[in-house]
Formats: sequence, structure tokens, C-alpha cells
Amino acid sequence: MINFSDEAILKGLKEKHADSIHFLYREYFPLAKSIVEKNSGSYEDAEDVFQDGIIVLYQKILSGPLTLNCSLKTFFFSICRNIWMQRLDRKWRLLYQDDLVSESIEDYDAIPIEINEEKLEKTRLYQLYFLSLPADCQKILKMFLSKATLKEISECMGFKNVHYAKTRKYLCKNMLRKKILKDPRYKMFLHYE
Amino acid sequence: MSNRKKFPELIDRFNNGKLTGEELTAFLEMMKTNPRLREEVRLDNELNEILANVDILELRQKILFIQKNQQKRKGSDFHYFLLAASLLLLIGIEVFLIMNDTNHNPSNKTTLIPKHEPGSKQLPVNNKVEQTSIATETINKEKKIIRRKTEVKLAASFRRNPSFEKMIGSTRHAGYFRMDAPLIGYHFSEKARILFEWTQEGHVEIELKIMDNTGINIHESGLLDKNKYSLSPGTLNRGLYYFKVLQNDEIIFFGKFIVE
Repeated sequence: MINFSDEAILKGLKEKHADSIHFLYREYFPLAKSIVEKNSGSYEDAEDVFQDGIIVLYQKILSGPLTLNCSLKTFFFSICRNIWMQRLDRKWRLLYQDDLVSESIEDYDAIPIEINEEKLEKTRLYQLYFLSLPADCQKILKMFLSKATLKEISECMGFKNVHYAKTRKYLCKNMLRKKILKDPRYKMFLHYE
Repeated sequence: MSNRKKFPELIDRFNNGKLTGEELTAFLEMMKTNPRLREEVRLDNELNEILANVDILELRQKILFIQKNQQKRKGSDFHYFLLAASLLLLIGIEVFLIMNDTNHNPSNKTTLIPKHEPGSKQLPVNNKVEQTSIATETINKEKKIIRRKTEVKLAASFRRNPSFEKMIGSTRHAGYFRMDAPLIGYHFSEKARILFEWTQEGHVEIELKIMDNTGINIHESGLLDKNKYSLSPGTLNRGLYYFKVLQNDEIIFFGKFIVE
């Protein structure tokens, strides 16, 4: 089994190497799982927290050189812990209309890491629905979001004309929006805002 | 084309700054009066922003792929574990049945019959009966032990949520409200309709929210003006569920039920 140093993991993650992500999953997922399951969460919640933790770590790497005063494992543990505690806090405040939560999230913030938990959950939700769209819809929307013209989209997808490309683009986007709007997790965002 | 049919196009053009003149004015007017349209415009804008980050999307795909692969591997490991456990269970049952049979069938029992020697005292007649009753008690104990073990092995979806448990039965309501069904902890069959019924003072709208045992909202009824609400059979999987009844965003009742 390959072992990676902290530097190698960070370098590998920056380049999105599958080996590094696989190593992170093998070594670091149990951390996320233990945090979540010890704090009234499920295995699926732990998988979400792990995903979000990796995204936060990746964004930290991209935003500049990451100087760690502790091991990467400890740092990742803190990220996951902050995400889960903020998530619990948000969901419980929703559930009890703010009046039953006695602990504040600062209590859990052992290593201060700036995390926008709600945005992380929104991003995951939107991306998961996007990835559940038919392959051609994903391709059209990706091209559209990378500012490709309707003519380029039409040619690449082999559509008869630009008008059809335009209609498909709207249909795909509408399908994605409808799927998200139906999800109860999305309704929780609305309730909270 | 009606406005509703044109909404996807209008939303897209609005968020890309391509809506101008009268069209823009008319769209802004529509947004003022149509909250659903406002919501869709905001969502579309967020989608444009989030999905434009191709890097994160690519990373997410890779993580998901690895997670799915690991789950598959765990699944196959679990199948082997189940197979081994089933074999052990079968062997256990076989041994138990053989022992049970031996204890009940006198023909199979090896009984030491003392040689009758002149002058020696004969064994009491009820000795054999006593032996049998002891053996039966032992078997019953074994049965009890097996049953107890089975009861403890509950799936995670039936695990109680300690914080929710504290809330059960609590009501905060100025007027009269009584939850008639389901009774707290009621067991619904998986194939049954899940029925909620209540009695209340006056004609006030309430809302019903159902959570699973991890606290995740899984169903919201919307505003209800009748005293009855139900979910079709098969809507909920097996598990422990909690529900709260809200009136003007205030919890007026908190209960739980089980689907099995």
C-alpha cells in the first residue's frame, strides 16, 4: 500500500490525482466518520462531510501556499469537525426555531478555519444534481457556462441548427432547476435565509 | 408563447444581462409579484456561479467515484461476511436441534443404569423425570438467550435520537390541540397508509414536518386546514421517525412513530 507524506498529499490533491484522493479516503475518511457518528450523524452524513472537507482543503491549497502548524491529519480533522458542528448547529436551529441550542459553534473551533458550511452544502447539492443529468445535458451546460457560443455548442453536439441548441440549453437548465427545487434540503436553505 | 413557457429563457437572459428595454421592465414587474419566479432566478444565478467552477466539479466527480468504488468493495466484503455468518448460524441451529432432540428422545439418551446388586438400595423412580425437567429448563434458557440477542440487533434507522426523545409529547400551545393519531411510538406496517389525525380549537392552519432519526427533514406537508393528513403506503422506508406539528412556526406537538 502506497504511503504519502503530507507534502505529497497536498501536491497530489492540487493536481487532483486519483491516487492522492484514494489515499485521503483510506486514511482520512475514518476521521470524518468518527466525528459525525459520535455526534448524531449517519454514515451518509460522514461521506458528505468528507467530500466537503476535501473541497475545503483543495480551496485552501489553491488560495496560496498552505502553512501548517500541525499535521495534515489534525488539520483535516479540524476542517471536518467545523463543517459537521456548523451543519448540526444550522439544522438544529431550523428544527427548534433558535430556542433550544445552547452551545455555539465557537466551542468546536479548535483550529480556526474559515468555512462557509452552507455554501459547501449548496455546492454539493447543485453539483450532485448536475451530475445526475443526462450526459448530453451536462455537456451542453458545461459548454454554455464556459461561454461557448450557441453556434459552437450546435456544431459540437451535431445539432441541426442554433435554435435547437438554444432550446436544449433552456430545457436542460430548467430540468436541473426543477430537480433542485424539489429537494427538501434546498427548502431548508430557503427557510434559513 | 405564454410567459410561463418563456420563463426558462427569460430567466437565463436576465441572469446573463441580455434582457433589455420593455422586456426587462415587464420581467422585473413579474418578479415583484411572483415569489416562485424570484426563487428560480436566484437559484439560476447560484447555479451559474457554482457550476462555472469546473475544477471543483471535476474534483467532486473523482471523490464520488472513489467513494462508490469503496462502497462496492465493502458491499462484496459484507456479502462474504453474511455468507460466513449464515453458515455459522446454520451450524449453530443444527447443533441446537441435535441437542434438543437428544434431550427429548429417551431412545437416544445414554442412561447409566446401575447394576442391581443384592443388598444395594434401588434408585428412586422419579430420578429420570428430574433429569428430563432439568434438560428442558436448560433448553428454554438457551432459547431465551437467542431471542434476547435478536432483539438488541436493531438497524441504525431504528436508533433513538436522545434529543428528540426529550421533546416527545411536549406541547406549547395557547389554545386546545390534541394529537389523536398516531399514538406516540405507534408501529405502522411498511405497506400501510401513515395517517395523522388531530383535534384543535377553531379553524387554524397547521404544518406537519417529519424527520428521520438523524434529524433530517424528510417530509413537509405544507399548510393544512383539515384535521387529517396521510402519506401513501411505501412513502417511508422502515425506520424510526419523529414528527412535529407547527402553527405559525411554533412547535405545538412533537411525536414519533415507527415504520416496520
